[in-house]
Amino acid sequence: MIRAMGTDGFEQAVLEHKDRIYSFAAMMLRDPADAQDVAQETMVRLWQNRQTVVPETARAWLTRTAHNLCIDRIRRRRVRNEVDPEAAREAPDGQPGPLRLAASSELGRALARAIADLTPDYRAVVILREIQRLPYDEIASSLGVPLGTLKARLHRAREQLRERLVRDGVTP
Amino acid sequence: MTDAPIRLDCARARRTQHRLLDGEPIPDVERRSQAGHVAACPDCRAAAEDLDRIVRAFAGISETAMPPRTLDGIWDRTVRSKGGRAGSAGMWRFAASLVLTAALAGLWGWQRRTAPAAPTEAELRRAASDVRLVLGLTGRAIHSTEQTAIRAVLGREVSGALERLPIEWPETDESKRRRSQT
Repeated sequence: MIRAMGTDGFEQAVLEHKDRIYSFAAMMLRDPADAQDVAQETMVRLWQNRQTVVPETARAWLTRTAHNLCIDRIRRRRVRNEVDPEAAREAPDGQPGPLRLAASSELGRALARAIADLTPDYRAVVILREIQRLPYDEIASSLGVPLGTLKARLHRAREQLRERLVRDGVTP
Repeated sequence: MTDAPIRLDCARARRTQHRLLDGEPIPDVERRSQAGHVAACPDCRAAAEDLDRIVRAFAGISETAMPPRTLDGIWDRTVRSKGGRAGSAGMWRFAASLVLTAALAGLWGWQRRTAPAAPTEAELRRAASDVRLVLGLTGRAIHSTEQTAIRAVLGREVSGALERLPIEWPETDESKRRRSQT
């Protein structure tokens, strides 16, 4: 029997996944303010669908929703021609951006910058697999791509990151 | 006995390297072949070492906490709004019913105060038309015997009442016939 999450399950899911969803959005969008909007909207949509989402699939559901919202925002930015790759590094209130804050070493910081410059498809795969360590099948389901495509993207993304770090003179 | 190593080119050796990083199960012979290629190829060795370091460096990038105001906004728009919305809706419904009741009471009082002493000619004409329509429909719907009896009553009571209204009725064939009989 399918057991929907209800109010208690919703609260539990928010507390369990809020940081992961916010971090994903922040790294995808490279803008903390947009990331806050997307993370909040993702959780509100979970609330609106709490009668149909089961707790066991809440993580994948949240990832898929956050990813779709991020892609929508990125597309809108492209239409408005307002991509700002530097935004992720500094939050609007002067606090360090999510990537800089999170990366502890020189290589980590360089890597964070390189991730921010990947295309959204590659960036999503790297964040979900290499940083958040989600299972491949869950990532493939969340992004709506076959497993083979997912792995091919991940391989190419790693190669691009390596090339970028070598080009920037940061020896991995 | 072990299988002979496979000859790998650089592209295949790097694909195998990624599969190893993915944690895929790789046949032993392919694993040994990949290791042999990397040992012999400086470019692939450098790439493999770089990728190893990059994957380790991913661990240094951790998640960041959602800002408290964002979490607060989520509760405001979800769990907290549940009771609030219900309470607001209840209050609005109550207020709306009060306003509606007051409006109906006012309308009723206003109609009583302003009701005309006698119906206008147009109103009477409309009422008579309605009566005739209802009577006609009723008469067609009942049995002929009953219809006859009712017609007699209607002809005596209702038609007389209608004719006493201060209205110039359009003359029908029936009224002409009755007038000629009298």
